[in-house]
Amino acid sequence: MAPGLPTDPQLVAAWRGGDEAAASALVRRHAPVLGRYLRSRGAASSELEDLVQEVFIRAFQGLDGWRGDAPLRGWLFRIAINLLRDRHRRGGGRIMVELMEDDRVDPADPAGELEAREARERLQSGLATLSPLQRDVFRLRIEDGLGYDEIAAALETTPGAARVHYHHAVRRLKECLE
Amino acid sequence: MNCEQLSDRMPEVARGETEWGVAEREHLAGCPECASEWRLVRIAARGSVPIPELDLDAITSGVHRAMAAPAQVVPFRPRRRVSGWAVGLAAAAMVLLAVAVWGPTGDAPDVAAVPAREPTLLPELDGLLEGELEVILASYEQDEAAEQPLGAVPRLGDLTDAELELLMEEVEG
Repeated sequence: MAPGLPTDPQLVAAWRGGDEAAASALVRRHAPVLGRYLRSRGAASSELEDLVQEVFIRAFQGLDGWRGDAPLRGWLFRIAINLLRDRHRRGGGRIMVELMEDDRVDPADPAGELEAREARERLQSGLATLSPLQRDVFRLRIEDGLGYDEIAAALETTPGAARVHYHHAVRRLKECLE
Repeated sequence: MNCEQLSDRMPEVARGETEWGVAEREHLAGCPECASEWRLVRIAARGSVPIPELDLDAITSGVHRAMAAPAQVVPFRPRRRVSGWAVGLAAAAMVLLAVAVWGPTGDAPDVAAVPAREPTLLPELDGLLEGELEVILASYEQDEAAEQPLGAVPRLGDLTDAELELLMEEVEG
């Protein structure tokens, strides 16, 4: 976080004191990464803003459930994870996945692109062999850029355990790529 | 610089948010373990979704609107109106039932404790407890105790219907 900016706990305290601008600042700070997370887990672009908004509404309504010593971002991710689970249950277990730009071959370097795609496919296969917790930790770390303390808050574990899961996942996935 | 420090930095460098420093590059060049991890992280990060463009103003105002809205209340369904005469009739029925069941003392009997008795001609008596009738009978008999031989106080079952009727008149005034 840039120096001089209020921290998340400071903004939460200000919002609790009636400062609406503090809530806006929290939304602006965390909405983009939450949007990326939701998008990467299969949410359609058209519903992304509604989902992010829902995450914040749930968060502000349930702020009493946030332990001030845990990173707010990790807690917001936990809400997003639960939101997706709720949708998944309501949707009868179906997940909508849109074709990403990355799924298309780059015509400028077809050979390199195909090699990269093959590596990604091996990676996907490797991810499928991991335990759900290892997979979640790895993806939150690499794709979403969360720190171990944030991952711990998101997945209701400890930072130490998250680190161990990450390194187990890395070891297994390296074997898949060799 | 050690492997753990380099590993911690890999995701953000792979996502292009920062770059390797000189010491980090040197470590990476000389450490096969870190090099293979770096390859993995780069491939994985390449599959990550870019930050989407979101209308943050719309999200923010939507959140504020939702927080400002009053809590949802389940609508109250008013009870069906009951006409006055029906209420009066029900109240009268309740009073009659109470008198018939609880008798003049007004105490609710322990139904389970009421022994089965032969019905009398006076339904009001059937509703009284045996003990209550005994007390009433005893007080009724006190005035004439002198005339009765000791131990000859009649039991309820010994009373004739006419005597019971007389007893009820005494009880009810």
